[in-house]
Amino acid sequence: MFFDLPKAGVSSVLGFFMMSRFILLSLILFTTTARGEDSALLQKAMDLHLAESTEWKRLLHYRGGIFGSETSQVAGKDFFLGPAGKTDPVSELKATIAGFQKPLSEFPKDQDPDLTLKPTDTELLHPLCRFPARAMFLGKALGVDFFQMIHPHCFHFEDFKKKLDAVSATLVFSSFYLGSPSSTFGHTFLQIRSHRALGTQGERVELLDHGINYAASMTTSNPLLYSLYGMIGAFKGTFTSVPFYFKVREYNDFESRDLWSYDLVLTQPELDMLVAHIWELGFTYYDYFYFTQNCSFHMFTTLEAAAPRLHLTDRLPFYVIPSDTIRKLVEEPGLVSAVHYRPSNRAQFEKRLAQLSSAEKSSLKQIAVDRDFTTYEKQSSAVSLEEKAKVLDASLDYLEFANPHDVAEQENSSVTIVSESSKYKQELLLERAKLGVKSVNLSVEPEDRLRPHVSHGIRRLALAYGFESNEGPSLRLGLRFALHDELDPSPGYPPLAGIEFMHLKTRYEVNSKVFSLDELALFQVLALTPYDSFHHKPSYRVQLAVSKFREEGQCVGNRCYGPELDVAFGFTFSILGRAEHPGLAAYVLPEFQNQISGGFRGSEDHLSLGGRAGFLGELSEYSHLKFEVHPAYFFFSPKPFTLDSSLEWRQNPSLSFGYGLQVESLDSKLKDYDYSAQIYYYF
Amino acid sequence: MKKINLLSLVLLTSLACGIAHADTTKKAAKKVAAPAAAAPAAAAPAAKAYSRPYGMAGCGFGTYVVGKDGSQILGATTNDTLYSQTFGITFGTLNCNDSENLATTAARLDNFIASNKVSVATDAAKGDGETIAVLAKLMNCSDSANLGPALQSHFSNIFTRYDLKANEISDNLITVVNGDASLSKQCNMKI
Repeated sequence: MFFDLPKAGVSSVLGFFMMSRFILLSLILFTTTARGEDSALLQKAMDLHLAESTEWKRLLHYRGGIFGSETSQVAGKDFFLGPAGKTDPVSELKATIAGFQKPLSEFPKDQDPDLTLKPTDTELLHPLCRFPARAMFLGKALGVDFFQMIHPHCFHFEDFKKKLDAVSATLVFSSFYLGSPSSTFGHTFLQIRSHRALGTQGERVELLDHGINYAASMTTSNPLLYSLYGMIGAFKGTFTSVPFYFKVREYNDFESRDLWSYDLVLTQPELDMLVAHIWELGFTYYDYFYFTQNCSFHMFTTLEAAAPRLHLTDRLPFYVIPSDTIRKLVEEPGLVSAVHYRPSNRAQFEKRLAQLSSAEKSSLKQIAVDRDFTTYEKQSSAVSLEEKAKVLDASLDYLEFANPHDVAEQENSSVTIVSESSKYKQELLLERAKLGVKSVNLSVEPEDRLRPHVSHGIRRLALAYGFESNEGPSLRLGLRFALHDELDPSPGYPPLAGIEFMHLKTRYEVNSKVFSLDELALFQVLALTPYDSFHHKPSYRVQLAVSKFREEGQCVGNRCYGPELDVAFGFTFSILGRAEHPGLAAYVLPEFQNQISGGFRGSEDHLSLGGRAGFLGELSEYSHLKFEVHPAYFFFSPKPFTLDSSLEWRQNPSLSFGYGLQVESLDSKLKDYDYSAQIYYYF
Repeated sequence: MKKINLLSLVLLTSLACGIAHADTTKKAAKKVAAPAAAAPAAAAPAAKAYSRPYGMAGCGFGTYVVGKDGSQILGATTNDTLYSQTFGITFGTLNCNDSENLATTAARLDNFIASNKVSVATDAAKGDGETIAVLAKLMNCSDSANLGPALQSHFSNIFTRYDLKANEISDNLITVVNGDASLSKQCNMKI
């Protein structure tokens, strides 16, 4: 007994010693193997030229620079495992392969499921958990499974995957809405459809899907800095994952914009890659450029990284307009399987309004616009419950779309102020609930003319032959970079509206052999919104351009050049056709103009007040007519009053081709005329 | 000239996508202060409040950023500098689906209703709609067809005031469903 004890002790000490030797040895052995494997894998990756592969370049967002060097568009340093990763695909590949094989013990916190990660905590994650898409690609290319080798838990990535619970992906276009200038060109984001979003009867309840958004993070509210930063890429552009219902409330309800969803055909591995790559991007940021590397551009680069068979960005010009990317998306073979439409609250209201009789419409006005339910209640004792429900439903829709801020305000539990319209709406809701009947089934089918992917190309080339009574014949060439004017084919664009960006007009005078600039319109928006009992939005036109001024008597010579800003606000009335889509509309827009030119008589800074009044007619979706009179009074000019007018007709045999005629009168005495005939090509 | 440059830049850059909501949160038309004792529904029975599991704020579908004036919808997408990365917010919520009981159901309802209050109220008043299908899902109901009409007939018991908070709406909703003989069988909230 006495002897035994120390013996046992010795043996256990010995055993422990031998055990540690073994562990130590095996550790050394393991490390050597890992190193050996490491270099073998590296060698294989080099032999396969993986650093030059499309997959690698897309996952790291490398793009060829001006001098042929590769630079990643990702700006966050944490996106690269190697110090030279941003500009060197090879060294980043090496650093990644080495990083993937690091032991888990170096990342103790990553294995803690209760850790609350902050976005800046990326270095706490094992590279496999931080860059799962890279690991999936490299593993497959090298014929190894890094995850089986290292066995990381990747709790946080797994949780993210579980949250998205992806079944498929959809690209969503949030339509232009000219009622607010900020949403003029539209927006795109990804919708990750989820298993969770199936209702009790197996129907889809897409509110429970997720939206993946890319947007600039504002760092200033100073408008000048804000604009400048957007141009030079000084804002951080980040990916965010939000419940889809946020997007619905924001776009459909708050901004009254229709949502168009394009279901994407992705294989399961592509979908897995997409989710993994979104995870990788969620930690980092790009520099945000409004017109080039914007939301729609990076939706494409993300999809391309997940599915290397796609060539979406190749289809884009150097500037990226969201609606244009939708047309390009549909052009990609075998990618889009279905298109869905989700009407804005405004579109729903229009649909309900169209179903009402004229008596019901006046009740609607009484309830929704005049907010006098009490009187309606007294007068409507004979009205059936169903009819009352119809009017109340339309009233509720109206209150919602006409008071968008109520929505924002009510979706907020901490707010302590509530608007009168919210209180009134509560009253109507109680009345609506008392009726106890269901609503008329409102299937808002999109009009074909609204489909954003069936629309003319945003670029337009115009060739014209013209004759001006003062100067004789001329050839004219115009190029517009984007997007649509009020006479272009209607499909896919809002009616009675034009949005132009970078529109260059030039002319060659045949007699004098002079080639000159007519106008460079940097930006022009025209939004004519017919006014009636339920639509009170003003119409407006804004233009910023470098122009040739030829208003009678303003310039020292026949013409002069300079910058110009025109701002006009007024009203439009529908004469023929429906309110929201008239065949003929009349408009009156009082206008303020500011023109600057060294060639002006008198002051070089001309301020004028005037107006634009006219008719805009849609003979068909492919045939438009416009007549406009444009008087102006120039304050600091020796000849203050000017008047010009124009009549223009355009016919489009197809979405890509058109022709037209125009007559302009350039002076108040109707002596100087300009006649022209144009042909147009849209691409 | 200076003025024009400024204007032009503002106009041009405000057009692009994804950054369109710079100051929408600041607009708040015609608001009136809600009196603290704003007319609670006359003689309504005392509303029952259910408990929520601790730390469930971020559970379910991700949470939102609350803007300075409190508008969540905008906050979620304007990317306020403080939260340039919403991904960050979706972390730390691993326990969401761990246990199913009344408290987790209530928390899930809170989350959804907080951002969909207007639609939920409207759909309930109409007795039908997309958000009713979601509520049925969140309350584990076997059938959403009966839920709509039930919410409609109990509307005044659920939306007792126009300025209810999300959790008050959830509480009232649960009370109504549990108090309804057929709904309480169809919706399994595991008390």
